[in-house]
Amino acid sequence: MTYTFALVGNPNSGKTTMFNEITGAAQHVGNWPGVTVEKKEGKARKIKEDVKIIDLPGIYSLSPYSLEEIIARDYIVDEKPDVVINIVDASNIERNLYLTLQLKELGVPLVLVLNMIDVADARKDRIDINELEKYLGIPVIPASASKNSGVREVVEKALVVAETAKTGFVKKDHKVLDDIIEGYLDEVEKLISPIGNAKGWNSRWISLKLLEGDEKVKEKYHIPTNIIKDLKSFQEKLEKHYENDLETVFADSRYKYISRVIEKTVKKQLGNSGLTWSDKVDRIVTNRILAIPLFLSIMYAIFQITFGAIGSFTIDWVDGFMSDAVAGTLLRWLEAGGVAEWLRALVIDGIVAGLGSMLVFVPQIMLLFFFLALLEDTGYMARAAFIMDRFLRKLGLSGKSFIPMLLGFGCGVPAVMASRTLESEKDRRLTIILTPFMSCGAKLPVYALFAAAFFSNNQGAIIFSIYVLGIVIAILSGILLKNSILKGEVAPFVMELPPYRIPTLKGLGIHMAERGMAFIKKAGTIIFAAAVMIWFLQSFDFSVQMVEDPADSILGAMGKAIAPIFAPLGFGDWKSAVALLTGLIAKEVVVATLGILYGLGEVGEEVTQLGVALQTAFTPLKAYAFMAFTVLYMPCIAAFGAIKREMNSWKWTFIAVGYQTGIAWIVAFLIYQIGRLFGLS
Amino acid sequence: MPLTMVPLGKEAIVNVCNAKEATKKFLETLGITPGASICVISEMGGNLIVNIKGARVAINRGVAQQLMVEAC
Repeated sequence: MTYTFALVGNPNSGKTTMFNEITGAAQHVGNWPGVTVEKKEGKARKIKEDVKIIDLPGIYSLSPYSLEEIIARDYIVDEKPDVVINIVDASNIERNLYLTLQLKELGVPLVLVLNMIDVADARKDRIDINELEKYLGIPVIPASASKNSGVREVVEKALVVAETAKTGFVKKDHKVLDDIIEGYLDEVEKLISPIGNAKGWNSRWISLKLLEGDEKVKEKYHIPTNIIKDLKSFQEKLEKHYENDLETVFADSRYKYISRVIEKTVKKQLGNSGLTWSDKVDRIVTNRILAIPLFLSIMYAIFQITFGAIGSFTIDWVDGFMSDAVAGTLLRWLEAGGVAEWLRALVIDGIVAGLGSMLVFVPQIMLLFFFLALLEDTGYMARAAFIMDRFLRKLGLSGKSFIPMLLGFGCGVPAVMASRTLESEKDRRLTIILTPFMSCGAKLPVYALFAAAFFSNNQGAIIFSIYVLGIVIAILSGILLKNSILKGEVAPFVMELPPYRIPTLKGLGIHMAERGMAFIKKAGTIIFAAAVMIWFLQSFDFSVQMVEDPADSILGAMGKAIAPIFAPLGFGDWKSAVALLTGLIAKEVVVATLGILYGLGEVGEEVTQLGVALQTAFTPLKAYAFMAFTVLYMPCIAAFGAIKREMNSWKWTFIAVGYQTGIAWIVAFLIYQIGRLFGLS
Repeated sequence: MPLTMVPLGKEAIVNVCNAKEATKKFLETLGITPGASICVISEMGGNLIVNIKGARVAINRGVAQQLMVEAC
């Protein structure tokens, strides 16, 4: 018998950790149909072979106000998983139970998991599990996913619940809302159940949602107008009785029930009002004087470690490995095997040169992803959003824009996707336009290459200045755009701050490996294909004759056609033009392309040979203008796709990339021309 | 009085929320309903971190000014 269990819980409830513990490595990440919200699926392999686990998006309630909530609700209602496993943060039980009550209202087979029970225990909160089970009428399992305790019990209990549900024995739910609301609910149900019974609906739940004023449910089930009319009169009576609007009445009623349950089942040593150690940390971290310097120091430290000594060390290491071990060995094999010269050229000059010049940056990019995961898992990311809110408001953004922006330093695709947490369309558009100015990990190889070749004495400072340039342009653009095409008030900032946590190495490892693997996969597919294609285009002319000089090739012709555009920026040669063009496939390809075009197939000591070759074509000023153009111009195809999906408008997509490319040209132009005025070449 | 007037560390009772509909709904989901006890943990430039039902929620100055509370 195959079962499907769905994991549902608040953001920060440790749901993903639980999912990872249950499924191990056996998971599949995709998207929900039609939307870019991540869908994770896995099998409870270690515990029971044929149990499928679905990780639903983290949500606070089942009301249909955000895409995540609608996805989760539709999945539960329409796909009917055998059991819904509700992950609850035991140390934040009162708020977490709000979602639990809404799941109970749905009447689905439910298991409640009190996750992070160790945190609650350490705080000396006493939770009476048996009493909680009694009051809620559902099984409750204490667990700690991060310590891998209770995980097996969760799955085993869910199996029992699934078996029981199959026999058709479902306990009649006891009432949660107060008597007056439940009274009206009975009335609505009387109206709905004749239709509901015929169509196999969950009439009680639909009645509840209708009474609560849920428009989505009204549309979805095509409720007849005569029922709507009666419904309206019930709603008016309710609002009059409570002297408040319906949503408030329902939310209040649920929370009152929770308070009663908590009172009987949870004894808090500290009470709700005492300061936890996390609050004490917050007193410092969000202190009005210390917050900003602390924030800047943390950001600076991350950049120093990633791009400074440790980062460079990893580059040299991979570089040596690629050129000595990989390329050297391959070349010997190919020579020994008597392979045709053109094929040898393809493998060494095309593939190894292309992939090699990019793969050297994998450890550095992983390091950056490690720090982003660290910021997120410790809970500092949310504080940074809070700290930056006031400043970002001046740019027409909210604190919530900070997270997409910070992720932008890793990869533009998840960064643009993260912009969906912004409620207002205007804020979202502005965030999407500005996020690509945060230099992504894939652009790093370009700076690293040029900085090493032209600014060997202060590489770190030069690379840092490019990052700062991106940020400064984003700031100026924010001010410009909020006063022109994106006017209007910034949405309010309301955000839960998870308590500070000590992240587990395993969690960070999974996070980092996921991103790193995605990068390597991309290298293995897109960049591999691009390298082969670029090699082909630069080796042959339009009559498919192999050319001696790449300048005569197809690529040479293309480059020469667009090169004049870049001449006023200082890099009007065809090789640079081609590199920037192929950079649209993926930014790493800029380096790969230069590697191929400067013919570095002949394996040397280091890939930094490329830098030496570049010194013939660039000066430090030109190199800097080139880097400035690279950080600012339109992002790669993958990010372009993400922008299109999130903007949901071709017009705004082209406004975004057009603006970015235009600004890139202007900034590079100013750098080169002003530099020349000061006597640089 | 608005939540911004509550001194750090003092508890107050939520009375009425004058924020926009969507914001109000979200605040209610997080437990900021009339009658709930709320406490300001930290303040930075008018933005607040509050303790609501044991959870920590960040609220910007604009919303905090629209959230009316009573001292208790």
